[in-house]
Amino acid sequence: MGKNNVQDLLNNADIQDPFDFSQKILQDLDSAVRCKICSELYAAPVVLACGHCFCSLCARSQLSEKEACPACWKPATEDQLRINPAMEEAVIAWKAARAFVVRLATDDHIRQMRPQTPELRPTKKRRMSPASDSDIEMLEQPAAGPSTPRKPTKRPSSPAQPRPKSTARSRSSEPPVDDKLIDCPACAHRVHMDKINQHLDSGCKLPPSTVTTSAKQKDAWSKIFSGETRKKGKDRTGDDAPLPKVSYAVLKEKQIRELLAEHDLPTTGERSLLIARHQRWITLYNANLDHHPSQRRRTAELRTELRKWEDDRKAITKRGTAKEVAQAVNLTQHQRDNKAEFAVLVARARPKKATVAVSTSSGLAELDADGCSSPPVDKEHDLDASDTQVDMTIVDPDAPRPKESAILVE
Amino acid sequence: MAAVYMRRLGKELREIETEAPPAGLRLLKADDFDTWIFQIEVLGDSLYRGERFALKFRFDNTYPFSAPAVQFVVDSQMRAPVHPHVYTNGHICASILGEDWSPTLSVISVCITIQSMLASCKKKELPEGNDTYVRTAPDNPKKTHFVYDDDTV
Repeated sequence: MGKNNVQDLLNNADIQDPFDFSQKILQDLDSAVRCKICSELYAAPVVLACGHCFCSLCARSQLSEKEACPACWKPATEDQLRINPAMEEAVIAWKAARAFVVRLATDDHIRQMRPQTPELRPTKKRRMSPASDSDIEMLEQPAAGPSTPRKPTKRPSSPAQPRPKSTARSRSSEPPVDDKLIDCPACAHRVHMDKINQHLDSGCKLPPSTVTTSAKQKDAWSKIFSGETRKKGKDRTGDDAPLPKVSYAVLKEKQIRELLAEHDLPTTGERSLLIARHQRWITLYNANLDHHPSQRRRTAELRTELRKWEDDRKAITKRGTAKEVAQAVNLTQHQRDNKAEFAVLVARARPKKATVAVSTSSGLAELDADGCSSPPVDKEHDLDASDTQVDMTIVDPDAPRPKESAILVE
Repeated sequence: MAAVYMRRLGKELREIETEAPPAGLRLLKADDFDTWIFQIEVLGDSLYRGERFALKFRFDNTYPFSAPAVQFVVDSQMRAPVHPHVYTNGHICASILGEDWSPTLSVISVCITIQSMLASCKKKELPEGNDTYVRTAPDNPKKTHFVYDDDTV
């Protein structure tokens, strides 16, 4: 079954979940720092007005479907989202410690399960102090342990540093104490003082990556006119304001293409696709900003992700298991397939103008009954007036969901 | 790296396999991330005592942001339960499978909801307009717009 195979995925070591631990207490600890939507460790955690916490991307994706907290249904909107740096810090620390704790826990579990082997160790002692075994490993471990050696690097940080855990991902190869190392004001990575200008000019690229002069120039200017050039920024990871939402309905297709071009995104496709692409871009972009600067992905990576999203979106359409998003595309297909029938219906309806809507929609309802998986009936009755797809193909997740075939149930 | 919905389903499956699913539920099939089938029975005192049903889940890559398509299996061996919210083609009218779906719900929590929907049933009867619906229903129950106005059953 290729990549859809369950066993392939489950055997993939990349996927971690609370059941990496056999102890309930550790499963609970691991669950506590996981998003209830994607069940991954929180990425850029944000809190909603009600206090529930989700990954920024999960929260934003959900709120674009329905403006309510998915956990308690209290009203929530995207602009109320607040970052949760404390949770982010906890997640980063847990990520660093997790593999080590898994190992400890597994060892402990095996020890508990092992049949008694008195020649190796007196039973009594093992029962009395299981913790002491762990302690021995603990002492051996810190050299390899990810969290401990970083502390010295962290302390001499400047007061301007926005959040304390910023060095958590900094290059561990750097010498722990070097007073020429300073925190980059933009990305908070630790950089050698002599290199800081070059680092800043490069848009906070870390060594060993080299910097081209043109990129240097551009970013130097963008630092000065950050308000002006913000939206046109290339691959910068500095502090940026979130992108505003756009009312696409008032924009011409050309203007939407321009919006996309501003972010170096593809400007091909139908209006609905352009809008969906731009909306998704804003979501991805803003969610990325909710990461601590040192954790943010570069704009190029976001573009790759957007592309992947678009491919997935196409896949749904092909499989025909589509919902509103994909129905827009299905609709044009359906229109094409049934063109002849539409023509007949239009011709039949034309002489008695008053009844156009009625006769057309009932005609289509019959098509529905014949079993072709057709898009919503409501949307269609004014389709045949012209061949264009104007409003029908606009994908607007905020719009009320189309009714398809209303069934009344007591 | 697998798609988000597969990762999420993978984790749910691992939970089901590691911890036994709640009483009355049994995983029959989960070979891929398209379709999973559970056996469901209502334990204890209820109108469905001794009956077993199969509940089919269909997923796509919008999961968990949109609900899975959930219905009872109706084939040569299996029948849908006779229940005022379950059509004879297996389609279920339950708000959590439609407008009240939340991405924090899971496959198991849907199973439990369906189980309790059956458990609390007081009279075995078909939904009003069952025949009309079954005749015209789309293959995918998610394409039906249900109106939820009775939360007593």
